[in-house]
Amino acid sequence: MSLGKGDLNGGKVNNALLTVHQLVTGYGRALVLNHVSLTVDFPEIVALLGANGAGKTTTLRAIIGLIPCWEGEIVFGGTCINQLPPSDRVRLGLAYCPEGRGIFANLSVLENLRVGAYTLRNKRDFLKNLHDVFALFPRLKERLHQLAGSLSGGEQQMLALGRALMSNPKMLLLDEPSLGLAPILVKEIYSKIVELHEEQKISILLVEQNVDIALTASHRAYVLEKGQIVLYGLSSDLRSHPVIQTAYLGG
Amino acid sequence: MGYHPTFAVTQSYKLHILGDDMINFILQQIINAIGYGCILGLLGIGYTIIYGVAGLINFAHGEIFMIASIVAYLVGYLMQASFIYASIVAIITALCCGLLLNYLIYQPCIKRRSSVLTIFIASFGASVFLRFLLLMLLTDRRRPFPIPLVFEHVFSVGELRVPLKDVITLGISIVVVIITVYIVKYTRTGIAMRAFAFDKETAQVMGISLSRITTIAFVLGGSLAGVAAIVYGLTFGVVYPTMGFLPGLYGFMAAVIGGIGNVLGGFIGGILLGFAEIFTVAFFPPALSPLRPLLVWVILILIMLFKPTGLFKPNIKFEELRG
Amino acid sequence: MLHSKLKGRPMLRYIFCFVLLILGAVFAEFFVRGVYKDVLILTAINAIVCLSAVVTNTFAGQFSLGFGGIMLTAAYTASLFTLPPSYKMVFLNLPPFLARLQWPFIPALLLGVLFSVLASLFFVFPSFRLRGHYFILITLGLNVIFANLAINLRDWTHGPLGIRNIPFYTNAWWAFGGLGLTLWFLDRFISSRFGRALIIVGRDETLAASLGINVLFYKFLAFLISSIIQGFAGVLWVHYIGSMHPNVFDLNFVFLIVAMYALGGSQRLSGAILGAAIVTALTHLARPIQEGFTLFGYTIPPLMGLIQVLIALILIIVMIFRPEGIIRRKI
Repeated sequence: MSLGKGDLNGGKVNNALLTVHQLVTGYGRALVLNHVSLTVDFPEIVALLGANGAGKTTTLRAIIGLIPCWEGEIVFGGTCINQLPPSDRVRLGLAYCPEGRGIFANLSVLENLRVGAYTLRNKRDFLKNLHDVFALFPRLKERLHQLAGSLSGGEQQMLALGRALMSNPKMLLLDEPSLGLAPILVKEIYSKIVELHEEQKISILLVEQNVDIALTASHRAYVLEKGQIVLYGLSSDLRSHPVIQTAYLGG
Repeated sequence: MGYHPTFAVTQSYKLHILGDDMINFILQQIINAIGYGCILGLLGIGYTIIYGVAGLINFAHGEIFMIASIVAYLVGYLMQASFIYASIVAIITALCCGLLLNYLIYQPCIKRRSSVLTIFIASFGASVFLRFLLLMLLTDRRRPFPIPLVFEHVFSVGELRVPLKDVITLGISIVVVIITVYIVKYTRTGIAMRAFAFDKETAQVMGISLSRITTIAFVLGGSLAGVAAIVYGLTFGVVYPTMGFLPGLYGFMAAVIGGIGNVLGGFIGGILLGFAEIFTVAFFPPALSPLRPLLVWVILILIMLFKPTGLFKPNIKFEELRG
Repeated sequence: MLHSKLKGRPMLRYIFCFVLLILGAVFAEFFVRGVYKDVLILTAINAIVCLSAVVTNTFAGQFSLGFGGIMLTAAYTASLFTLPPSYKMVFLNLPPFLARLQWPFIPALLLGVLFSVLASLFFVFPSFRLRGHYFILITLGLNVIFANLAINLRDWTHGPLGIRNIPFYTNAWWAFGGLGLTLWFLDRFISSRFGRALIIVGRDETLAASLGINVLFYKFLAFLISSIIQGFAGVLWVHYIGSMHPNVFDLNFVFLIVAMYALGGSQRLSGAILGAAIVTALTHLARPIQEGFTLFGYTIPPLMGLIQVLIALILIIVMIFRPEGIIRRKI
């Protein structure tokens, strides 16, 4: 465990599934991410923590390609993906669950899942993945033809996750899965997240404001503050770190 | 910017007749209105698809429609080709026009993240360019659309005259609409288009490429404009460079009435609008007929002000409509 | 670079423009004739309209294309008062007091402007509720509606045939003076408290509201100012041409103004003037080419519509590659 910026890869560049190296980006002329570096191995769950406005969502959006990088490199599965549009990055095995779920409220549950499976080649894969998603989230099967906009918050989160899984991703980017959900639902969602990680060996990079649940579910974590990584290490270690204790866990 | 001819003007003297004759009169108007309503409906679907997916109003849609008609005239009349052949060439031309507009104008603007006004001005410019280009090359003289003589037959049902052309028109339109609705509702591409219309960014994250889906939208929209051209040719029989302006406008209105992004709604909006036009003409005193475009605009403005989402459910988030 | 030299020094700017305008007016009035005089004077008037477009579209962010209808209203109103009674009695069907009188230019001008402001109210209220595509279309539609009204109110407007014998009150002094006045006013306005607030409303309404700016008031103000300018220009126009009919300010005219606004530079006042100059000159001077001519022994047939085709093509290219227009704002 160590404090401060600089090269955080610890020499593990070659093994990592995702490597973000010295990323600099922002919106318009406003700088948001200032030389951010992180890695996610295969398979592990990594949490990206930080206060509001620290740049967590921006990091995910840059990784998936919704915003361009000004400087730095993003390497996924050995390929540099900086120049690729989002639709191509998805085909490499990345999947993204946006902040606020991002489900298509005008489509049914099934249609949402079909969109998630857009990159699949044949129907057999689609049906197999559908089956897996229903095994993980039986409630989606019950609501198959319902309009996605009419689902509850928890169900929408499940749908967003299920949809992301339809494309056979190697890695999931989750943006605040706990947002707006009651504590019971948060626990349920996270148990599903851990479950799918263990069963399907999918790596996960999750952004969270709820530090407690994030550290419980993840193996490692990074802490982002004002666009820079200020802290990183094993989640179990970070939990007892004094800075985390006071700033995020309240004592 | 000429007005298109309608059949109903000659019938308006029948206003004073009541009872059975009135019913016949109304039924006859309905039959007359079919062709016109289908044209507006098909154009409306084209607008709604392009606006839903690409997020822009294709001002030049009416001009695509016009170019397809002129191509049908050139191929069918000058080159003496068959109606089917001319129609197919016309639809393919319309499709290509849509693709060209997309690649040459809209995609570059979107890639440069231009403002709403900039894209609008480019669209407006494209419309003027195409209209005046054809006007320059061909002059506004009315030219005939190649209708096969077989189609000129008219059935008599009781006291009503039912032209075969209108039946064929309705048939073509219904088939095309069913196909389009099927594509949009059930196919992988159609679902992708609807998702994209709702949330561009998230759709891209699902693997839907922005340029590909926009291309598909223009292919669909363009083809529909081509079919609309065939229908117009069958209904009115004429072709001229300024023919695209008013139908294009009314087609957009149909899309608004039906709910932007709602394919079936767009078609029904077109039918309703067509009927509304024909009926106002039939019941308007002839002296007031120059006021017709006024009425249409007033209706459009009222709808945009008070029911901008249209009569049916729109497919895209309403906030987007407000700029 | 000219702009940066003039930027901070209003006095220098005023003198510079004043001199240019005086030269322009003198030149137009005394040294040229026919087409060239038309080009100069109509450029000035078009520039005035273009400036109004800058106010609503660029400053206030309201994409309004309704200048046709507003100018039409002012033009007809003012000419109703400046036309000689001899004409009015014969061709129009007006209430007697109106048919008998004939006003001098300035009162008629003021009345025309008043009516154009009233006409602009039709634009103001929709602007409160809608933005973007829908609003643009409504403003376009209002052009058609006004033109249609002009066609149909035959008693007052002589319908589609239009009115003639309008006195030629507009000369180069009026045109260039009007342009100067408009420029001066807008220049003062931009640097004033009102102007700055308006620009904030144009950029981001929510931000403006959060700063305590009354958004509705400023939208109203933008349309008020632009309609005054447009009405003024409309009256000047008809009193230069000497006749008026419903299609003078039709959608073709709107297209040309849009082209001027977008080509010259939508971000700056000087852009409006440049755009007006280019498009007006092209429209008038290229007309003989449209009629067909002989080049190297080849006869090129008349190509009606060539001007619009060229302008539209240039407009598309500019919108793709340089959407701000020729004269940009330095970042």
